[in-house]
Amino acid sequence: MSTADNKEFAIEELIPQRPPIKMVETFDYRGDEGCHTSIAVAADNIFVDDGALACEGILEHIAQSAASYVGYRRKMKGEEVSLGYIGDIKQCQMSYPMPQVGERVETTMAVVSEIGNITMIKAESQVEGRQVVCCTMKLAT
Amino acid sequence: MKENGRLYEIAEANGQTMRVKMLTSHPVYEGHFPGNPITPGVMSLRMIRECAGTMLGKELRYAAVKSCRFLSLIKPGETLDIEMETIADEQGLRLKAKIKDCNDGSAKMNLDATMEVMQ
Repeated sequence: MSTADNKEFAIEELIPQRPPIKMVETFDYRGDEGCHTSIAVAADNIFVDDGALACEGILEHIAQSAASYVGYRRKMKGEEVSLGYIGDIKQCQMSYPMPQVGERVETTMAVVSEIGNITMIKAESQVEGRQVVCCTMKLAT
Repeated sequence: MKENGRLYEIAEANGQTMRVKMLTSHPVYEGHFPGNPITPGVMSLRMIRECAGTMLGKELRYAAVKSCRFLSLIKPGETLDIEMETIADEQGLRLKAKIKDCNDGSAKMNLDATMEVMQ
């Protein structure tokens, strides 16, 4: 596994999303196999309801993890980062309870395929070692 | 999110179809994307969950999403029809939903999910 990290770029350089819907805080590039990302759940997060991050917030975090990965590879090639959209979400399982305010969501994302501007990924998000969401996702950038 | 402003308002509810208007003032558009407001796909997922809950008189959460396809971008100011079908099966409450453009009926999003009723 590569130990390459993301010292070169701020998250804002990798993805176009901005507060209040910037949903990636740390990004660790793991080469061709994917990346590891995380975000701490803040009380004022736009997806927090009754002290917990709604599952849609984790799906957005996963989508932005994939966008960060694509953005990182584009930046390394000297290309521009473009807007990204979710094409589809499949095989998605939720395990409650969802993360509480103050907890950190840790996501491992693996690339399944990259064809043109379509990236298919598989991701698992955990909180303190417990899986909360897993899914596959197609991202168009 | 309720405190942060509303994403949409229900204009009309007719059986298993709801007509919603996407509002333009939601703070999410400051960041998605600056100067180019587009409704995040996951917010559409949330809207369907809430509308199905309103239809059933229950608060729902996703247990599993079998398939969710985003077919065309949704932007603030648009009026959409959400068609919902719920089926009780062995896994729980199955929800099939479609979001369509209210003018030409073109598909915006198709969803097949399993829901849980929140206690």
